[in-house]
Amino acid sequence: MIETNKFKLGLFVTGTVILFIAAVSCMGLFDFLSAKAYLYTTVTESVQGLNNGSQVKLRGVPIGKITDIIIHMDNRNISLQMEVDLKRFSKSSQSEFSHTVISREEFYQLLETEIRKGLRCRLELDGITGMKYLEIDFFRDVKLAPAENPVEIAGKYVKSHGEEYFYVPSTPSMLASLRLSMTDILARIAMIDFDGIANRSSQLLEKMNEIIEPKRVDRLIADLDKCVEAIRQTSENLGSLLDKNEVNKTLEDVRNAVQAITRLSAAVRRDMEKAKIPETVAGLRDLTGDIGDSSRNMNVTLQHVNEAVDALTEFARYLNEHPSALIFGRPKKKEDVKSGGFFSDILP
Amino acid sequence: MQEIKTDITEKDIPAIEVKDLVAKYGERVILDHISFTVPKGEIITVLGGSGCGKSTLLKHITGLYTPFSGDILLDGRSIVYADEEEKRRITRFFGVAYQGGALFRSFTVGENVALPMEEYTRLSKEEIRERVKEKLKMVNLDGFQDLMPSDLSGGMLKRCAFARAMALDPMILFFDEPSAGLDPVSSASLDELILQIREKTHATILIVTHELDSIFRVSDRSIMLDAKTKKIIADGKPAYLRDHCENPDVRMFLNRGKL
Amino acid sequence: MAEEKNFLTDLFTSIGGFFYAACGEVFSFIAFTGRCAYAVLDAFRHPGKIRRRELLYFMDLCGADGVPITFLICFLTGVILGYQCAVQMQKYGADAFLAGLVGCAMVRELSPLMVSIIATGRTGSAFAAEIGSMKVSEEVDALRTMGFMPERFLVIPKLFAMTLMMPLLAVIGDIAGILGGALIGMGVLNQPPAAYYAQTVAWVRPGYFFESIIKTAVFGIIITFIGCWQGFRTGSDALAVGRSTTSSVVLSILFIIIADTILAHFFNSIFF
Repeated sequence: MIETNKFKLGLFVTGTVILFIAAVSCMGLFDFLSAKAYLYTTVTESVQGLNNGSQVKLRGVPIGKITDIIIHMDNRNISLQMEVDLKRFSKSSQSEFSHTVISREEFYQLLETEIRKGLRCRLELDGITGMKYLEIDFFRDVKLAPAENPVEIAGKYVKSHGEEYFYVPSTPSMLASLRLSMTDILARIAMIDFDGIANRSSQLLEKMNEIIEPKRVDRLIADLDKCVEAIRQTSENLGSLLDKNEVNKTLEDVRNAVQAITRLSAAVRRDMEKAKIPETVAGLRDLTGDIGDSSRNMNVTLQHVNEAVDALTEFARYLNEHPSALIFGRPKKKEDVKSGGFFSDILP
Repeated sequence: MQEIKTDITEKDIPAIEVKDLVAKYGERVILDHISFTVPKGEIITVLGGSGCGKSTLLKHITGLYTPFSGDILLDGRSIVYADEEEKRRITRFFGVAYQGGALFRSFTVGENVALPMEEYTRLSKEEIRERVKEKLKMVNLDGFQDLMPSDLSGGMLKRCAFARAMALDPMILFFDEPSAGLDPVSSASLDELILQIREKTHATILIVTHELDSIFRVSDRSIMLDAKTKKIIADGKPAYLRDHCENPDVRMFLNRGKL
Repeated sequence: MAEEKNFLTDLFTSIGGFFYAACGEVFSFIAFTGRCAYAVLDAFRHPGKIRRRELLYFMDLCGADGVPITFLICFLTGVILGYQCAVQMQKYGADAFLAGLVGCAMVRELSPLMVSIIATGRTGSAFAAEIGSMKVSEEVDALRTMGFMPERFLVIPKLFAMTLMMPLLAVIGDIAGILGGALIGMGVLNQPPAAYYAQTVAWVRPGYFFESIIKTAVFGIIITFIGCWQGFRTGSDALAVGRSTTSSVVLSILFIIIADTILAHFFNSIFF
C-alpha cells in the first residue's frame, strides 16, 4: 500500500530542478561569470528613483546595472558605481553573428576616446513610475556644467570593493537642465528695459503727429477746389472763343478732364472724411500716453510673472524628484525639511 | 548503577514490581497506593469492572504514563525514573499486544512483525524474514506475511499483535484484553496460544481482561482492582478467590454476578 | 452586590481558564517541538535510520501528486492578478510593467503562499488525520512501548519530505504564475511573447526564486509541525480526529501568514 511510484517522483524532482536552474539562469543568476567592467560617475542632483540594480543604458541598450550609491560628505556629490556587462560589446568581425567580446582594457580605451568626443551619462526617467536609469550617450541638447572639465578627469580610476572603477563624467538630467534654462530665460526677460521702449515709442508717435498736421490737409483741399474752379472758368471762356465744332470737341475733352478732376477731388475729400485723420491721430496720442503709464504697471506685472515663474520652477524641480506626483498627486507637505537643510545650496 | 547484562537475571528479582503507585488524571485519582509484585514466569491477570483503572495501570507499567507518585520496576529497573535512553533499553525487554491489535496499517503483517527486529537487531534481511516466519508460525499465521492488517479478521489481528509483541523474545509480555470482541472459539484458541507462548518462551505474562473463561484457563494468579476504593481488593489464585474470597464483590465478579 | 460579585468571579474564572488552556497549548507545542528537534538531530546523526520508504512515499504524496493542482491554482492566480492589473495599468499606459508586477508578485509572494495553502489542505490535514487515527487505535502507544520515538517514526519522514518537496512545488507555482500573467499580457494587452519574456527577465531577479523556495521550505516545516502536533494531541474518540484535522488547517494557515509577514520583512531588507 505504501509503495511509491518512483518513476513519477524521479520525473517530478528532475523536471523541477531543471526548471529551476533554467529559470534562475534566465533571470541572470550566472551573469557574474561573464566579463564585467566597472564604471563610476558623480552627480550633483538628487538621485531619487535610482536604486542599486537600476539599469545602465548606452544609447538605449541596457548594458549593466547600478551597484552602489554613495554620498560624498566633503562636496555633497553623489557617486554612482555601476557594473557593465562586456557581453554587450562586440569587436567588428567578418560575420555579423560571430562577435568577439572586447576585453575590459579595450572597453576602457574606447570609452576614454568617446568621452573626449563628448560622451556623458545622465539620469533619465524610466516611464511614469518615477524610477530612473542611467543613460550614457552624446547629449547635444545640454551644455556642460562650466565648472567641470570632464576631459581632464576622464579615465581616472577609483578603487572600491577590490575593483578599479573607471570615471565617466555626467551632465545634469533633462529636467535639471530644463530648469536651469528656464531660470536663464526668465533672468533675461527681467533684464529687458520696458520703460525705455515705451518712452521711445511715444516720442516716435509724437513726431508722426507733427508731420500729419490736420490744418495743412484742409488747406490743401481748399486749394485744390480753387484750382478746379479756375480751370472750369477758363474752359468756359475758351468755349465762347473757339470754333464751334472744334471748340465743341475741345470743350468735350476739357469737360471730361474737369469731370475727372472733380471726381478725383470728391474722392479725395470722401477719403479724407473717411479717414478722420484728426481723431485717429488724437487716439494715437492717447494710446502713447497710456503706454507710458502702463510701462510702469508692466514692471509690477512682470514682478508677478517672475514670481509665478519661480513657482513653476519649484514645481518643475518637484516633478523632477517626484514624477509620480503627476499621477498620484502631491503628498502632504513634508519637503520643508529641505529648505535651509544640508542640501539647500545644491538646489537653485 | 545500571545493569548492562540483561538477558541473565537473578531469579529472585521480580519481573514486575509496582510500589505504592498513585495515578491521577488531573485531580481525579485513578489508582490509590497500589503495590504488587509479579515473579518471573508467572501468568497474572488484572481484573476489574469497567473504569477501575486496569488500562491505566497497564499504561503506567509500560511507561506510557508517568505516575503521580510511586515507582514501577521491570526486572529491577525503574521505568518511572528512566531517561529516554534507559526507557528504550527497558522497552526492548517487554512486548505489548494492544486491544485492537494496534498494527501499523500502512505495513504488511510481515513488516509489522519485522519492525522491532529491524530497529533493534543487526540481523540481515534474510534472518529477519526467517524469524518473522517463525514468530508467525507460533501464532498460526504463517503465510500471511504479505497481507495488510485491514485484510485480517479480529482474531488474526490479535494473533499478529502477539507475534509482534514477541518479536524480540521479550521476558515480559503484556496483553490488553486479548479476547475482547472475539467469538468463544477464537477466544479459547487465544488462551491456548498464551499458554503455548509461556511454555516456549518462559516469559512473564500480564493480561488485562474480564473474560472469566480466560482467567480460569490461563492465569496462575489474579489481581482485582476496585473502581470505588481505587485499590487492589483481591490477590490470589482465581479459583480460590472465586470460592473463598472474603470480599463478596470479588466472589460475585468471578461467579458472573451470581452468589 | 452578590450578582455582581458572581459576574466578576465568572469573568476572572473564564479568563484564568482561557489563559491556563492557552499556556497548556503553548507548552505542549514547545514540548512537541523539542522532541521533534531531538528527532531531527538524531536523524542527522544516524541518517541511515531515516525510514526511506516512508520518506519516498511522502515525497511522492506531497510533491509529485500535488503538481497538477499547484500548477492550475498558481496559473489561475497569475491570470487573475494579470487581468486585474492589466485593466488598471492600461488606463495609465503602464502596460509594459505588467510582466514585472505579475512576475515579482507571483514569485516572491503569491506562489509560495498558494503552494503552502494547497499543501495545508492536501497534506497538513492528512498528517493530522493519519497520526490522529493512529493515536485512537493505540498505534502511537504501540510505537512508544516498542521503544520507538513516535516523532522520529512519524514526523521525520514527513518533515524531510515536505521540506524537500515544497520548494520544488514553489518552482512549479512560480513558472505557472508567470505563464498565467503572460496569457493576459499577450491576450488582453497584445504584448508579443518575446517582449513579455524580456520584461519578466528584467524585473524578476534570481534571488526572488531563492526567496520563493526558502519561504515554501519554511512553510512546509510549519505545515508538518502543526499537522503532526495536532495529530498527536488528538483525544481518543473518533470525533477528535476530525477536530484535530480542522484545527491543523486553521492553525497552519495562521502560522504561515505570520511567518510570511516576518519573512517578507526579512527578504525586503535583503533585496532593498
